[in-house]
Amino acid sequence: MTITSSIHPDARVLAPAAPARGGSAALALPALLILAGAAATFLFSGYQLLLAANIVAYAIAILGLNLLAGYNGQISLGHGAFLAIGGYATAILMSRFGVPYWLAVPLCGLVTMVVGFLVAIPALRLEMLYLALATFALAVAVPQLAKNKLVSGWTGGVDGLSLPRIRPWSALGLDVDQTVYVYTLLVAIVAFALVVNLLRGRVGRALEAIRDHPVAAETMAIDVRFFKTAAFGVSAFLTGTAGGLGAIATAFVSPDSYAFFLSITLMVGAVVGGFRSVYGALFGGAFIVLMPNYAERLSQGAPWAIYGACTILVMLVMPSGLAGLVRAAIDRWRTRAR
Amino acid sequence: MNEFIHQLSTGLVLGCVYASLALALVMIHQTTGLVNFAQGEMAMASTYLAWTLVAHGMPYWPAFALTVALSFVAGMGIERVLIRRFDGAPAHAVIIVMIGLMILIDGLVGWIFGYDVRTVDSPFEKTAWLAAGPLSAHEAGIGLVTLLLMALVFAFFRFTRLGLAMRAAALTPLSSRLVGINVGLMLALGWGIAAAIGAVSGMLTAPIVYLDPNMMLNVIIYAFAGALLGGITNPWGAVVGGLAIGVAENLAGAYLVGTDLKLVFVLAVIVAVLTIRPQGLFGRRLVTRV
Amino acid sequence: MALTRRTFALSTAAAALLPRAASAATKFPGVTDTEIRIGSTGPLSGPAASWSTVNKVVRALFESVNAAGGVNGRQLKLILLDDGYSPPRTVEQTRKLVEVEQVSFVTAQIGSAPGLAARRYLNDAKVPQLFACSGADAWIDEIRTYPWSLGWAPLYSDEGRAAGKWIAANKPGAKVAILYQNDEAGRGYLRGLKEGLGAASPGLLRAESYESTDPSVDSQIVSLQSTGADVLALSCNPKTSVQAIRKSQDTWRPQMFMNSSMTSVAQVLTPAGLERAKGALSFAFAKDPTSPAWANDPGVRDFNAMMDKFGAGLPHDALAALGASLGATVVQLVRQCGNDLSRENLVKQTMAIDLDVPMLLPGVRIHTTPQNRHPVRELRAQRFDGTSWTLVAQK
Repeated sequence: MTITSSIHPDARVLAPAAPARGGSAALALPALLILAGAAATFLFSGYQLLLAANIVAYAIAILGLNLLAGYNGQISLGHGAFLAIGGYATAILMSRFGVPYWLAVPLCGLVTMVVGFLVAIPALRLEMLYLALATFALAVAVPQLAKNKLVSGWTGGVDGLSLPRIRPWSALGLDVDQTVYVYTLLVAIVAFALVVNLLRGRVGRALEAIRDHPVAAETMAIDVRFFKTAAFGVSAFLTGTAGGLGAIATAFVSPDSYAFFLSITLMVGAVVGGFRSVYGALFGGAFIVLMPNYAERLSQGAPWAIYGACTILVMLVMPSGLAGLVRAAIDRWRTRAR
Repeated sequence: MNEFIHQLSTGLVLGCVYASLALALVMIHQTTGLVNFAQGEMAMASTYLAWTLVAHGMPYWPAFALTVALSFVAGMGIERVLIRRFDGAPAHAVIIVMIGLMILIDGLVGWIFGYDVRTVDSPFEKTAWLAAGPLSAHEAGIGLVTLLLMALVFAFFRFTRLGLAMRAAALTPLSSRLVGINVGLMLALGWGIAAAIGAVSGMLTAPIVYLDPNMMLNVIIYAFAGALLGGITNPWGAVVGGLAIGVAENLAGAYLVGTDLKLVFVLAVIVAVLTIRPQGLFGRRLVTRV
Repeated sequence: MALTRRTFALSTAAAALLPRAASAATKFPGVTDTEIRIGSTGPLSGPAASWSTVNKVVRALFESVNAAGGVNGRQLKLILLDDGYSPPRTVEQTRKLVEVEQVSFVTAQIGSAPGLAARRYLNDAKVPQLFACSGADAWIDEIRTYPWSLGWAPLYSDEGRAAGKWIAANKPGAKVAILYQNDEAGRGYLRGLKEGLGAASPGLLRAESYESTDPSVDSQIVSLQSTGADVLALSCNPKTSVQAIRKSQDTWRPQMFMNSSMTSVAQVLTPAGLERAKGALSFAFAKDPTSPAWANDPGVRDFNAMMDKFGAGLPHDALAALGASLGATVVQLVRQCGNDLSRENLVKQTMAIDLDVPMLLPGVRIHTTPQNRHPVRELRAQRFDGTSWTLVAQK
């Protein structure tokens, strides 16, 4: 029996950042995931690759949300707005300016990052509950903004915007679906590596300190304003990039693609996957994309009730989400192996 | 000028809708310190309950009373069974649970009843003498009920021992326990009363916006804005805020930003209030000592 | 325990991604000697779920045809997937229909944005996207770029144009105001209205929009009233229509023009007040099953019988009439193809449909040619007399 079982499960996060694992073991999990992801390119085709690409794209979006809300405690119920900005920016860059997709996606990430910094300014002054409220209102307002007459010349208004075709990497023998998926995977690898690196060191500890004891953090000379703003910016960058990837996979953006419920879906995915975990984002992405398929078999028309029920159940029974479950399983397996 | 007055009066009517829901929000905030994201959906579910009772032959006012009573019990139940478990949990946990509750209720009602829009008759149609000027009987009725509710809530907190006990339980739970206040019961009562107020709000709103699972989705945003604007610590502040938002939304839509940016306008109001004067116009600033 | 849960989760995830066993290879995709598989997507869940009545009525109609022996000995199997009115999900589900469910063609996809999102994939894959449930201009404007895709109902702009032309011809000097929903339907109607009015003076004075989530449109009606207009065009969903009719007929009482989705006597006009709606005009293409005018109409009687038997619980409203008519078109198409149910022939036969659909208004006929591929483009003017809609001779 380990000591931690008697403490509230979230107390674990106050412990030092990542448990010190052996050098090669620390790389094992990421390497495994990358291999699995790469293998998927050739094992799956067409529809499955689209699902896979969407899962990975949502995983990046949820990673951004986890960074902001899980690690830094700034709850955002409006991350759909960043997905929309990323998606529309990519669509506009590609269709109106002819920018190739591999450039458009990082660019739209940067655009969204700027918006993130702007949003951070008023957000700094809001405590968690009120930030959730304000971002909730943001999520509701976004589709209206996309439809507005002033910008509809660019955004295609209510009819939406089609993205130009992607040229497949035929030199590598990949078709369009595989190209989109591989590109999404590559972006994900870079994004996850970036975040894991960021969180492992000083930055990660500072963010968590700000979340748990903001006043103490400030007295310890952590620049709270800087870190909170930076967290918003990076989070926006990640989610915006994910929006761009999603837009490419679907080849279409419209206000209906970014309805209010999308923001809630992201939050649900983050929670179910594991709110304070980088790898939880992968579980979250899978949950968002795959759950409706299962719910359909149960009863058509049920997904919303199931989202809600899952969220509440997860918070009650496994607050660290699926990632926490996996981690617990690994820990138990390790102690048994010793 | 005539149009302006007309916009004003329709704004006030809408404002009463927002104000009545804002009162429920204030109730929860005053007694538990939370902003209940699921309040709108709970109100909507209560309204569906009332509709079902009436559809099965029960006359309106008894159905109204029964719905309020059942909503009260349900609210208490939700607090006791669900929210209570997150007492010591990190701050974000309860927010997420409320969001989960919101979508669960929305999904369940949609699943059970479908998403067709149903029209609901107003209980005030028969009392046509209520109509005054540009306001129809129902609109005047909803205004009266809102004012009545507001007076009741205000009096409850100000003049009754129970109200005092509930406020104490929210502000200083430890000290309240030492004085003999059953904090758990206070919290549950708070949710119960808020659910009851929400039920009234939903039943008043349904004749105007018609009954469908999403009827409260936009209303809750405006209600939040109203409660924040007026001061979420203050019942009559919330009502004033709700009315102000109703009027402002109409006027802004008609004269300023156009009707297709109304939600953006409300968002701007929320952000402005929270940044410039977080306690709202009439609220009290809560200062936490470190 | 945790391990079992994890294994379960992983294996079910894998199962979701792995391909289903493909059905027996046939000459034509989605077709066997006994069955033809037809795909469709719609918002079965979420806020737009009431639109899925169309899909469900199509399914009911197919079931009634199957019970009578099918078409040329084949059963029509509709595979309906939920897209929650989210275009990215529509693309996913459409690909699933084609690649996993192996349907012959896709029909009755609900929504402009969802349908347009799926359009490119279906054309690239050379799968017919027939009779999309959307009145966006794109279905006709871009038909040469996307020859595998076809709409069905008259365009939203067609309805607006018809109203505009009628006003210009019959009510010279009319001052027009419009309330429209801020989506493709409303915007399309507005565009058509402006075109139809043309150079008529003073023409359109003011246009006000609303979101489907707005609690009330009283404010917009007040704004429109203040312009002094005497004609009010409405392109609204049923719920908002009730609000708009009530408010506008209170003190203002303009001549109302309604779009086809808000003409239901039971769903809209009765709650709004039959007296208030008296005199309103509308341009429609299908019969309202709840209108007393069609109480003895054999087509409506058959429709009601079909709905009672195969579509229990579904409302008998404008969407249902649309679904029944659309379904009938599909049945005719499959019949016309005979045993050549190749995708190419399906598309070819859509250019040669000549059909009288019982639920469509008299005078509205489906007659397609290679130059005019869109099935239904005609609209009939009708006026509400306080109890039902009566057809008006068009000038």
